[in-house]
Amino acid sequence: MKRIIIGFEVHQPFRVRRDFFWNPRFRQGLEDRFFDTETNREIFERIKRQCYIPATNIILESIEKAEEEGREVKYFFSISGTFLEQAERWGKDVIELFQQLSYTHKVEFLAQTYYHSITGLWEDKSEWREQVKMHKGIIKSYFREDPITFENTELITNKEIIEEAERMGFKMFISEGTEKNLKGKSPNYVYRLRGHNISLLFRNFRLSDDIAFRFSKRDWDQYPLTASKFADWISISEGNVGLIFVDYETFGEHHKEDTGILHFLRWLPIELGKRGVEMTLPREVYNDAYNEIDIEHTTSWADIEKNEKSWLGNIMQWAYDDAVRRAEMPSKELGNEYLKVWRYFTTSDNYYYLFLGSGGPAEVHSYFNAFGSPIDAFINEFYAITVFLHEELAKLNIMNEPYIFTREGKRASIAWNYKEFMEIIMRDERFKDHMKHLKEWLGK
Amino acid sequence: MRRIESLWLPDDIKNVWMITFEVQKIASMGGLGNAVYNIAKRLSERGINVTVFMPSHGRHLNDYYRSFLKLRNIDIVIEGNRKGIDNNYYPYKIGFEEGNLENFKIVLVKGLDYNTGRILDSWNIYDNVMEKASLLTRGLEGYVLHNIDKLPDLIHAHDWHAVIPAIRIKQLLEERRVIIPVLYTIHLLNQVGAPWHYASQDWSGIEDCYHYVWMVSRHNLYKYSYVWDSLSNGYIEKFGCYEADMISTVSYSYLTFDVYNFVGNWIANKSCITYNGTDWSVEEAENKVVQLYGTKDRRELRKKLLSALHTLRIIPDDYTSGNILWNNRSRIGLRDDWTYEDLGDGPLILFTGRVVYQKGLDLLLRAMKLVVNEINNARLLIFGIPAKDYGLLWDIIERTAEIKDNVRLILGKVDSELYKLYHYASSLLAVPSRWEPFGINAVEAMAVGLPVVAYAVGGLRETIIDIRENPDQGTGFLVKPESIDELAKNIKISIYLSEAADNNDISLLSKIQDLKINDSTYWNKVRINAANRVKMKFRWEVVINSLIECYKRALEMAKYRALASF
Repeated sequence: MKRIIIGFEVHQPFRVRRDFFWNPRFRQGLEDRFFDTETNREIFERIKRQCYIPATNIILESIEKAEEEGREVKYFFSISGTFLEQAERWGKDVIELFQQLSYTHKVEFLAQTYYHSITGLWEDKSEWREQVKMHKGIIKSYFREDPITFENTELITNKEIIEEAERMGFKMFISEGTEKNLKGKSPNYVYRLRGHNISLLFRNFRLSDDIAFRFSKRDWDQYPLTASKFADWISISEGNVGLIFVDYETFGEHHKEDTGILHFLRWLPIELGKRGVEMTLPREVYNDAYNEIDIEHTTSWADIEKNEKSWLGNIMQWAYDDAVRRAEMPSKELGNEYLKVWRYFTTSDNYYYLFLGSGGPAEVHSYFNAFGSPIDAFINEFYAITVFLHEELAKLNIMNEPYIFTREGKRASIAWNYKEFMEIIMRDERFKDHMKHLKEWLGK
Repeated sequence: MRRIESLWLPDDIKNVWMITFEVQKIASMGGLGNAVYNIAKRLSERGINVTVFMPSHGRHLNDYYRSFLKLRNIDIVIEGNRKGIDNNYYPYKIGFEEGNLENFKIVLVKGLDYNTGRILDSWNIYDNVMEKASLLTRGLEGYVLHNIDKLPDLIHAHDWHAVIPAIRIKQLLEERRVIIPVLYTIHLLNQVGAPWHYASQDWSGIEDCYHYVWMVSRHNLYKYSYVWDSLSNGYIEKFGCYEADMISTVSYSYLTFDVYNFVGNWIANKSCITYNGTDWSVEEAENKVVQLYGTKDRRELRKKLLSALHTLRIIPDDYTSGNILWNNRSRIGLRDDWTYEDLGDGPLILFTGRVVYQKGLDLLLRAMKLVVNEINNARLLIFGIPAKDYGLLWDIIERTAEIKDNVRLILGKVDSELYKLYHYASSLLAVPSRWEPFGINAVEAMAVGLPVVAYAVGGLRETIIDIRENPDQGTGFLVKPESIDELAKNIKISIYLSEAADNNDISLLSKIQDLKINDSTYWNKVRINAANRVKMKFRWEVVINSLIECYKRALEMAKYRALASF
């Protein structure tokens, strides 16, 4: 490959209080009652020290040094809104560093959902669209960029989400290079969604996971992974343009500094340059579509199955998700703090903690789990969203059962009163035929 | 020959032996044969006696070649046995045919018994290539011993097939205290490897003795097996780089990006560059056009050629390629009699080269679709040589079918004069190679005043001057490698510039973004620049000067080798 795109997922969630069920709180501010601000701050500050500051400094130096040498070093970042909120509170220096990166014009900031949420999987995409718009807004305000590349949370991709992204004006969509969708094609090309104008880039998960998962595995036959070896692999790979996309926390947090990961980050662009491999960006290749492709499956970058089941795959996750959707319209009706806090519940991490499984995937989930176990997570998270919902209902004087919209047998948005019902129909016309049930539901 | 203490060294380079698998007009697949032929011819013109050694490839058994090369048998018979790893002995019997091509001498190494002939005389150049190279070594070993009084002043090995023969000769002579410089030219890296047994005295003949090897700044004493196994990891080309006195390759880019990466940059101080060259010239092409068409106006000629495709009958040699084309003929404008449907007048993009992944025709066709979206009458003529990559050929046909009114896919041999005329008439040549050691087609195009749009890879970065970098001397555009979008953009700019010049229409220049050109005739200037650049740097008579310089450096390095033993 002559061209490589390298980018990082930068995200921190607001974690639900890990003891919310056992020690419920009723007297603090809304966010502090449900979310563990202290833990969130501690985690952010630790990772800032170990990763965000040193890794970003290395990238900035790489870009500047390369400029002096007449080379180009380029990276993309997909930074969630919740990360930027946390950085605004506990790490302004991180934001300043990212802003310095943006001044170099060698960095692309992608769009995603502000809350890094799984709302893209909801039947009704209204909330997802709002979160994407919010994210575009925050990227514009911090980095003065209008993203044209979209990365849905955790690379959760299906045709519907890509089409929605295209309707919102995006020209490039980042997806996981799974066999299910590629069907034997190489991930190292730009594709165009069949019959559409939006282009797709597929993550080369083998090369990405070499860094993200295998870098410090001593029992890996390729250990130690040096920048020159990795650059060799890239340069001899077949294809037109490859995509490497990993969590930013890979550099200093998942693999600690003593593994040599930060040196790897420093040397990789130099070694790529030696081999004549150009670093490029998604926004620079959207017109480079090599072939058209059909997307028939829902895919993501998580686990072995690489589908949506890491977030919506068991009954605990479905129940939590239903509760979150029940609270959507009341939160929107109440607005302000309620809406903001409700949106923290939509963050994918809160779903991810509820994953049940075994083997490698369970180990990965366990590593990332803010709770002791999925069941522990469920008890506290489900109780939290239930208490949150019932407080909202009380505030809105709602005493009746909800109206649950369905589409093709799938539970969708949930209304608690006439206003919310009409709002749902207004924002998504596909639910119009539910009008016939309105009178019956209202008991008139 | 001059004596230094107990050693003999050439004074000057007057006699050169070349070892190769290909020579144009005898047996050639493309670039290598062309380069060897021209180098030998030009050196001879400079008064250097050149003898080219190659496997016979069975050419001596063919009457045409016998008379064309005036072949005569040399009365030398080399017989012996090679010992296999199975401990069995394998006999060989080798003879020689001597002849002349142009102004240089040819020695064909042939088999004198069935088993040897089966290998050395096989018509396909690269059949049993390892064995051919091994028997060639055995043959040349014997030839040297029979001609010890007629030794060359330099041995020039072309590509990996010639490495072991050349090093064996070097060794034979060094043992006799005769120091003959060896120049090893890498035209294309193949990264071929073999166990030491293959090169050794048991099989190909290299004795495992101590000898001096240049190591960055001094000579070290190593055994041949150590150089093969430990320093070269069994790679023949690496071995050649350690053992040769001087390495040459076809461009700085190829040397620094490809050869260094494979061999190591320690060869920097014993390497040199010899570009490939061409004989094409704009004057010759112009004369031909005037003679045939009564005009030298490129636009007029283009129109005529595009409307005469129905008379162009080209059939690929390769049966399967032909079969695939034939079955898709209606989709790609190929007619039932193997001629082509005409294309309407319009700016013409030319592609030439083998239909292989390296050449990037798949990328060009995708870019062409973007070009056609904006410039509906843009035409692309593909003069391709089928190379049995049928998966790629299918893709090329599919993409061609998508823009059938704009593209003609012409696979097979084209008359060389006509081929030049298409170059003369075109608006630009596209060279979308993914990698390219040199890229002779770009130089040939520029020679007849055809600007080039190419990916910035390998030798193309040295042959083409980007208009953006140097508007006064630019010869085309260099594009970000493998970017379809950038290729399309640069082709569009070139077409607008070309059309502005051909039609004297300055308004077309306003369609060009990212480049400020105010002169509607600018493309004519680029055409002149292109032809001039070839005259200055890439005509064979110029190129040969750098090769002679390289020979001199090889002689110097050989002297160091000789002195290392003191």
